[in-house]
Amino acid sequence: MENTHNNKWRMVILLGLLFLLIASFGISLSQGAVHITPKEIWQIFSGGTGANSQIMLNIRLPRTILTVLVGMNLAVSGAILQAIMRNPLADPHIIGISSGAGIAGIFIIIILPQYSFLIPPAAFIGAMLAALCIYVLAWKNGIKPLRVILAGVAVSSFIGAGISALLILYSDKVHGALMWMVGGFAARSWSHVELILPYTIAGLLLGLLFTRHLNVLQLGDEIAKGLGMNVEFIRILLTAIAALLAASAVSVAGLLGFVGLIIPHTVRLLIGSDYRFLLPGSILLGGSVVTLSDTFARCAFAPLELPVGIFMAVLGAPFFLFLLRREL
Amino acid sequence: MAILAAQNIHIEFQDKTILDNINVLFPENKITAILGPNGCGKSTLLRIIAGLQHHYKGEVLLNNKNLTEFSSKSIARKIAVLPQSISVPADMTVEQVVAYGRFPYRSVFHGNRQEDKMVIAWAMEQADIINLKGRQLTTLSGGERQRAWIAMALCQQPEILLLDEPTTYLDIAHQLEIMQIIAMLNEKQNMTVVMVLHDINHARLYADNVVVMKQCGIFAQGKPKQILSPELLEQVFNVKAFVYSNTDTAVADIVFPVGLMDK
Repeated sequence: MENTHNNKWRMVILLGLLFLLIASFGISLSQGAVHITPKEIWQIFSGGTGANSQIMLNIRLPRTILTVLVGMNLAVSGAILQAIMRNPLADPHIIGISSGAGIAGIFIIIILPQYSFLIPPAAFIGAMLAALCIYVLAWKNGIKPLRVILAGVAVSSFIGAGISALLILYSDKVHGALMWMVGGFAARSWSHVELILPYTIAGLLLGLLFTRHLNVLQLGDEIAKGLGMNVEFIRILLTAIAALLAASAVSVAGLLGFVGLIIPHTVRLLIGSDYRFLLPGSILLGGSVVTLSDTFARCAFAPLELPVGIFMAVLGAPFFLFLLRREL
Repeated sequence: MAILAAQNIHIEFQDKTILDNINVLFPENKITAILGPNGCGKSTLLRIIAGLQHHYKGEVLLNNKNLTEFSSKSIARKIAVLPQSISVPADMTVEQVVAYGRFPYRSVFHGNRQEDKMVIAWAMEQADIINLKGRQLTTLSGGERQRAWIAMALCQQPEILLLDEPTTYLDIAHQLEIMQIIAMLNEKQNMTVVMVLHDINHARLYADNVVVMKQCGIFAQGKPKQILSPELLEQVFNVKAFVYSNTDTAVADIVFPVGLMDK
């Protein structure tokens, strides 16, 4: 009885998170340099051509959709990594998967700017290579949570050195790369939405298909194998899904940190670590939080716009310490 | 009906021999206890017959068919295995964890929820854990938690149950409780049981068959009352022991280790 009661409660929270996402979406559409009232938004979407319809349809709507998609991608990527690496601190940013995607992206921005359409596949390859390095470094008769985080930090700082070297060697082209690296949504358009959308749909659907595997993996490799799971194959598959989600997010929004850490853990505190609920919850909350953060980042110091990456780091660093004190 | 046998098993880790030329048959519908000093390869043998360990020489036969010919899911429907220590996320309930035992019966798109529910309820009843089903695993005592893991293994509806030191860290009452559940599963459900044990008297009381290991090989196997003698304990564990006959009741004789042998 208790469990069904819990499941009902979890559904209520998921519903609440859905409303939060819808509200965040609306707030993001209405707030900005030009305030657009809900009534105006309604008129624009029902075919009106008000003064603000250009701002809405070409700037604010694609940007808002993009923040939602990026938030979903990073949150689910973090949630998956936490299960397969059996480490609560696993997050694509902290363990260097985003950096792997980032260095590939920066390489193309700086050295091959005419091939910018190659950024997503290059970022995916960079992310997978980083994940592979972490596994190779951390592997010793199985995956141990502590070794994963240490290997991740090592990979992350190694790649960080590479990024710094690229930026110094090509200091004349640094601005574009720097803006991209900090993580932000300034001047993003429909082309960016088109770029990330297929990866988001594929990644989230695949992630949701494997929630039972993610649940069982939390009990450790021995148990998962004993229950008949092909652990090595599933781990590689899920790593690829997480890397795909993180890399496509990095491709359009740069190195946006901590989303993959904060969101799954907040959802965990709300509805527990059953991935059948944790993953949908992370999707909804991830979309909401990044959208709200971006809205705040572009409105708080208007007309100056902060990159949302800075804002997420301010939010994320204390949360990281909170987790350290609570769980390790 | 499942017959499990290991033939000519040999395994090394980093040039160190762990098991050498192991030949053993685990009798159907019986309880077999594996005994031996620390580091003699007991747990490795258990992992090999469970299909968890690869890269060894020799073969494991399940119903006269090589274990490597079975898919990992079909092994999991025949053999359930409980390792020594299992990590568990802070907020999982007993019922949630027990339900994971249904994993080998589901695929990404298929699953029989009605049957799952019945098996989960049956398994929790067998392991006497139904009154704790809403509790979080981390709040349970060692004995209760071990019963929850047994219920998870039962959800696999196995014919063979493999346990690695199921009574470690438990007090004497909870040790006996676990042993009685295992004996009941063997008797009522005809489950074949293979378990690594440390307690000689538990082996004498509950096992039909014992396998004694020493230095990567099998030292002796047979009926516990016949082979678990003071001489064997001396040769295998370097321990001095006496047998006390219990004339009052039908309970078996007790072996009592009193000290180490002189060097």
